[in-house]
Amino acid sequence: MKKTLLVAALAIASAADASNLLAKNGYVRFFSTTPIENIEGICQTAVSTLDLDSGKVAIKSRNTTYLFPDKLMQEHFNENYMESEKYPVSAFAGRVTGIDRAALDAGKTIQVTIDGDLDVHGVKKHYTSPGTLTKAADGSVSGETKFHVKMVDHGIKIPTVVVKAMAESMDITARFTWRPTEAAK
Amino acid sequence: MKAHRILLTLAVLPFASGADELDSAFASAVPANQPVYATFKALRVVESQSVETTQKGTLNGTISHRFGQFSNGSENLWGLDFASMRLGLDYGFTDWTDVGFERATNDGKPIDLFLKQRLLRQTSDGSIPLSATWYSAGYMMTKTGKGLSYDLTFERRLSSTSQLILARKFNENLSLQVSPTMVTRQLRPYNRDGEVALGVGFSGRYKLAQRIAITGETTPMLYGVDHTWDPACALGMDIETGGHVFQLFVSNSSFISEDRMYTQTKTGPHSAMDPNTLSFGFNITRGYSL
Repeated sequence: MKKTLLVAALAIASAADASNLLAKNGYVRFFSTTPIENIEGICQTAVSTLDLDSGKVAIKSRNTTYLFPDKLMQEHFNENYMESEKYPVSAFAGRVTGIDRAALDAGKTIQVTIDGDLDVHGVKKHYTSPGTLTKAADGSVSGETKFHVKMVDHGIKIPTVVVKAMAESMDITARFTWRPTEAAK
Repeated sequence: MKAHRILLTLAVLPFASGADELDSAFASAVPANQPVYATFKALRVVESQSVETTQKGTLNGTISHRFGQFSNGSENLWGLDFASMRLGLDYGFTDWTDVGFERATNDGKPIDLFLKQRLLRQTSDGSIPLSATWYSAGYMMTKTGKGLSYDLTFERRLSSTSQLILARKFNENLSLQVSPTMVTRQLRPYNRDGEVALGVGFSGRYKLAQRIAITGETTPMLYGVDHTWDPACALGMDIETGGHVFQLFVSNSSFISEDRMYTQTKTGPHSAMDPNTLSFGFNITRGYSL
């Protein structure tokens, strides 16, 4: 009896593992625009896991790996806004819903909904955003989503003197290509 | 019962391994070890150079003002009637190499060309425990020399300051710096002063709030400087706004150029920090990304 259970459990565990996908070199960009200046930071080293069965998705990125065309802006981003020494990592954990496996496996781009908690600057907030998933012939799955983040929602204050140069909310674009775990290793 | 426990453990396993997988992939893909940033907020701690250099592709403008001594009294607005200033521009050719040009109004209207070359960058995990920057400035007086009791020859117009700047950011608030310093000059106030003067600068920054820090520095000279000169000292405050850094300070030196400040500060008969002989000053720096 015990053995049967054990074998069954192991089988389930390995099956669950097999649907676990891993993405390295994930792309996360945030952008704000005002008449005075554009602010753009791009991270190309975000890491993510995705489980197509349960829809569970998790993302992590290190704040100091967001690169800005203007280096001074990058320093301000880390020192004054993100406080990267206190909060080095920005993360997301949630679920992808509406995954039509048949359509996905048929190679179609499917519309999905992502909802979960974004943990930025030590403050977690729930977001729901639309996104897409596409499965390639090699078994990798690509996805993209866009959403808005208000800085004040994450306890990031904008000083009065730069209020005109910085928009209240940032457009976040995230793009990942997940691969089966074994292949990713 | 046991079977249940095993089942439970195994049921949790895929989820646990998912989280572990993310963490281990994250740890291997994105090393936590990064160069530290913002050991100091500007090219200068107060009046002396900091370990920082201007970042690649950024043109940095600095306006430095030094007013007269507080002892000038109310009639001269405690020294604010007398101002000397220096304008400076520097450019980051790489994230490690910074070259600048400056001109000051006082003491022979010196122009100078300086190089700041980073040698080491402290890392967040401490594998490189400190940052190091080499600083060298060559000055040339541009005033005519008319009415002087001596001939202001080309050689006499020249002087230099060199420093090996060593700094460590201890935590997000505290940074300290030590700078072995060498000044060379042909023209000296006294024969007792040497053509080469050596000393050590000590300075630090403590961040009080998100954009405000207090700063301090002193540069005692140990060799080649007559004992009647005092070490240059300054106490300041950094205020950072978007692209500007405002540095407000009180100093015992009337000179802005480093060579003169280190070797010719004279604060009167009482003490190096006699309140009457202190003066107010400020620097404004602004970076432009080109």
